[in-house]
Order: sequence, then C-alpha cells, then structure tokens
Amino acid sequence: MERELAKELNLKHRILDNVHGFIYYSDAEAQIMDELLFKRLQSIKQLSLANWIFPGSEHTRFVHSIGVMHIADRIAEKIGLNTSKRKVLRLAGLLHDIGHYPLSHVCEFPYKKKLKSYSEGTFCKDVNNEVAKRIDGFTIKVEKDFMVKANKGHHESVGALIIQNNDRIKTIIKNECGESAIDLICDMITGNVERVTGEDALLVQILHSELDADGIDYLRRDAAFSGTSFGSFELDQLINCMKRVDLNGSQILAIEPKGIAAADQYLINKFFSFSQVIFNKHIVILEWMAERIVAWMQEKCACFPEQNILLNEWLGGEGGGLEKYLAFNDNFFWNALQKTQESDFSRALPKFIQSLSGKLLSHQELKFIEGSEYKIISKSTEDIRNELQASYTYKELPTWTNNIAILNEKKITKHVTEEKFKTAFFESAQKENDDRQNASMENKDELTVAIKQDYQKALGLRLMEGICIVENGAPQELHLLCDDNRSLMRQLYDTTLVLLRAYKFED
Amino acid sequence: MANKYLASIYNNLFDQRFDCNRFEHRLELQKGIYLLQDLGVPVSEYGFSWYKHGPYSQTLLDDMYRMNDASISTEDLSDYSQEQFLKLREAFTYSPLNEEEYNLQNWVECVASIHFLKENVLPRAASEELILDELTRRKPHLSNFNLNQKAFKVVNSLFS
Repeated sequence: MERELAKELNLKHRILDNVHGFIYYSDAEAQIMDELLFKRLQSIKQLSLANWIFPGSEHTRFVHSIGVMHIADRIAEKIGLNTSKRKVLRLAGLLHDIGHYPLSHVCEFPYKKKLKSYSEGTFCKDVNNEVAKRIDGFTIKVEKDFMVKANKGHHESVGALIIQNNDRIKTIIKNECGESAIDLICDMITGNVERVTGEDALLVQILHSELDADGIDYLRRDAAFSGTSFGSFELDQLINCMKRVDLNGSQILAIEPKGIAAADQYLINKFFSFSQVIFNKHIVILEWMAERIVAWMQEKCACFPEQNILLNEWLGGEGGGLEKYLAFNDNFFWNALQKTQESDFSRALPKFIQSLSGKLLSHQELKFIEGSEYKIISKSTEDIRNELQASYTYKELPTWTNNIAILNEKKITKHVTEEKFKTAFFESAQKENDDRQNASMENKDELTVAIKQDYQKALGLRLMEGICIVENGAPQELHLLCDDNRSLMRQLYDTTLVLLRAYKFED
Repeated sequence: MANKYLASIYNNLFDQRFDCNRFEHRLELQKGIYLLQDLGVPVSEYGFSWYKHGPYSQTLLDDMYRMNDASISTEDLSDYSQEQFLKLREAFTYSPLNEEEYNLQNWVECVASIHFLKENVLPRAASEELILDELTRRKPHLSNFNLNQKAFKVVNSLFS
C-alpha cells in the first residue's frame, strides 16, 4: 500500500515521526519544508508553555504540520480523491499553520480582538469584575454560525496572506498543482466554503471541521508528547468509515454508522485533553500571564507590532519586512520579555507587566490559591451558573485586591440536535422577518421563502462542520452524531466543562 | 439596550443611537462590524456567511440582545484602527438624493455585499462587471448600476 501511494504521488522522501511512523513526501513538499517561512515553525511550540508542566511537550508546529499533511492524505485516499486533488490537499495540510504566532495561540489573542486593558491601580479588581460578569451572564449557547472563514488577524488568514504574497511558495504550488490551486489552498486554510463547490468543498472540510486532519493529528501528538493517554482512539476505524456524500452541489465528509463509536471516543478524548492538559491549572495561569504581557505590548507597539504593521509591512512589504517576520517566533517572545527587565525600557512599563515578565523569565508562575478551584461539568446553564455563584471564589471576587480569578469553559461538541438548532434559528430569523415586514420592506411570501433558503444554507453548513453519519450512502439521511441514538453525543451534547480558579497576583 | 458594547460601535459608526428593536439598525450594525473586522479593526470576532441579506452572523444577532455593559470608544483603539474606523464612517455617511436612490440601509448592504463577494465568493481576479452582475443577481433590490459602481469604488478605496 505504501509503495503504491509513494508511486502515485511521487513520494520520494520520508521522515520518521514518533506519532505516525514514516511519513512520505514529494519533491514539492520537500521544497516547502525547505522554505524559511516553513522552517520558522520549528521555533514555535505547539503547546506554548505546556512543556513547563508536561516536560515532554516540546513538539513544534513544524512536525504537527507534516502530521496534518499525512492524516489529510490518509482521509483523501480512503474517500477516493484523485491524485491532483490529493496533491492540493497535502500542500494545504503542510501549509495550514504557516501563519502561526509566537507561542501559538497565546500571542494570537490580541491580534484577533482587542483585549480589555486595565489600569495598574485597579488591575485585580477589573480582572475579577470581568470574571464575575461572565459568571452572571453565563449561558450554554446554541451555536448557529458554522464553516465561517477565519477573520483578519487569525493565524489562518495570516497563513493565506503569506501564500498569496510569497512568490517562492506560489511557484512551488503552481508547478505542482496549477495556478488555480493557490486560491483553493488559501480557501482551505481559512475555511472559506463560499467560493467552492463539489469536491473542493470536501477539501475544505478535511482541514476544517469537527473531524479534520488538524484535530486528529494534534490530539494524537499532544498526548504522545505530554505523556497522557488521550491520543489513544480508533483512528484506523474512524478513517476506514469515512465517505463522501453529494448534497446540493457540494460534497460532505461523513462516516458510516460503524464509525460512530470511534467518533464518540475521539470527541470524548478531545474533551479530556482540554480538561487535563490545556486547562491544567499551571498552564492556564502561565498562558494568562503571557497573554497580558503581549496584549499590553501590542497595544503600545512595544516589541510586538500592531496588526496592520504585521500584515501590511512585514508580510506585505519586501526584504526587511519578511526578515522581521521570520524572527517572529517563540524566541521573539522571550527576547521581548528580556527587554522589559532592561532599565531604559522598564521605566515606561506598568509595574505589573514588569513583574509578570520577570516571573516568566525566571520560570515562575502566579501562585494558585488552594481551595479556590471549582470544576463543573453539566448540560444545564442554570446549574453551572448557580454553582459558580455559590462558590467561595465568586463571593470573594469583589473584595480581592491582590488575587485574580480565571474562568475557562469548553463544550464537548459545538453542535446541538437538529430540533434544537431549528428552534433557535427560526426564533431569531422570524423576528428579523417580522420586523422587515412591519417596516414594509418585503412582503410575507418573499420573507417566508427567504427564511427557508437561509435555513437550508445554515443546515448545510452545520452538516459540513459536524461529524455526519450517512446511512446507505443516502444524502437525505445525513445527520450529525447528536441526532443519532447510537451515539453518546445524543446524550452528551451541550455537556460543558467550566473551571473557576484563583491565583495570588502579588505576594 | 442590553448590549452597550455593540451599541457603542454603532453609535461611533453611524453617529446615532442604536435601537436593537429596529431592523435597519441591526442590519447596518451587521454590515458595519463585518467591514470593521475586515479592515483590521479588532472590535469583535464574529464569523460571517452569505445569507439572503448578505454577510451575516447569527451569533452577532443573538449578542445584540445579550447583556454587556462595557462600551468602546474610538479612542480606545490604535491610531491605525481609528483611521480605518473613520474611513468607514465616512463611507457610511450617505443620504439618498431622490426616491430612486438607496436608503442608508441599502447603501450599507451594497458596500458590504460587494466586499464579501469580492473577497470570498468570486475568483480573486474577478472584474468589476462580474462582481456587480453577481450582486444584482443575488440581490435584485440592489440594481441601481450607478450606485453599485460608486459602492465598488468605495470598497476599493477602503481596502486599498
């Protein structure tokens, strides 16, 4: 099998990966791996600061990207994509994280949405006030936006920008797959399904859905390197059950019913991986500290560039700009922190930024307050909110001047049953349409047609993003795991993990 | 108004008080936030898809009714973001000269829709003609050719 694969795609080279074994790759993929923009990923850790707590977590975005290419192609082979589509998919998988920020998601947050800035004198009070508001307004929402394209500032959009502006990468893609593949790869990386139909919609889903190659690789890889067991799931069974189904001019990635248990296991393991690794109490505070520093620096254009400078000058410009971007990795973050300890720079800094930076540089974290943790797993908004509001930590929030609280949450799946989704969709859509009718903008019949069309679109996007079951290859029987009585997700959808903890901000 | 944060974005963009019970205001805010995000003004992080009324976020619609008593002023933004915000505000400063022209809501919808089609739907090198044809095909109520051309120029100038 491997020899056939190698011949068809001309996979002359191989690399030994401790997660997937030998991974084979082509000349074009070798050229991409040789590019400095790709090699930059060698200096960006997949799990940012997790290696301080799970010392084995030293893996980088570089090896993860190669892993995603490999998994994406396994899926492609199973569902019968032809060689030319597989070449495009492999390159997209390889390039999908090329726009990642230093420390992965930690440095990305302030580039996507401006974080609230707090004044030095009331820092703890302001942070805790925000946490209290989040608790008071806590709701398990019904998600209704699916398969949405990454926004500007998101690492995926940055990746697409890199590809569009870099002549060397474009030439490699063009020579391997043709010119039209450049835009398709960008759409695949950003998750844009508006421009694609047929098989191309499938390519987007393989990199951007609840069952994508990205998630499969990182679950396995993060577990392998952290030493946890959550990466152990029936991957072969899952891929073996994958199929493609035609639906309204596009193709949907789905699984046969005998893959349901493997899919359930995958989602549950992902949930535990968040609970035990990503939301580990030490990792949470370390990342919080780093985010606050980066948010301040980015806002003040101190070390970290503003979004427009990063995107328009570093990536849009020539020569000097690109060199700066090549150095925009984990080392950049640590160098920036080092500068905060130098006397010239430190005079301009708020004390808390200097203090947080100093702590991180000496491998220290803000101390966790014993007994302050409240961990709740529930499907009920009221239960979660009530339990949080009854907690000692919540009650102390308004009084704390030297402690801060952090609230994390994670749902086991983004999806709800079709019935619940339909109710939520029509509740808000109907109100919109009633208002339009009242304002005499459109007549009732036109609006009814519009609502139905919008609902069909929303349903299609929901199926693309979720893990779909297909019975007997019939598109009319496509449904998500949470709508299937054979799946645990039928019982577990809406299950949400919430973690509230407190830390000493100042000794 | 439950969501003061979103209301403050609307107030800054359209120079009038946001009323979440008015459909036109909600539509204008949808398009305004879509364009602000794409201009790199990091006020929010909503995902938009093409629905009947153009680029639209279901989550944003729900949030308009949700409690949030924070607010934002353009002074909270960087110089660059403030500049983009003002550019968009200027682009939205529009009043129809006669009954045949678009009202503000249609104008805003036109600008946002052209940008969405250009960036996400049509091939990257799509001509103005192709984009405007697609616009009128999807939105027959936006068929004023001269105004569509004007909106196209506005989009080009915003994103140049």
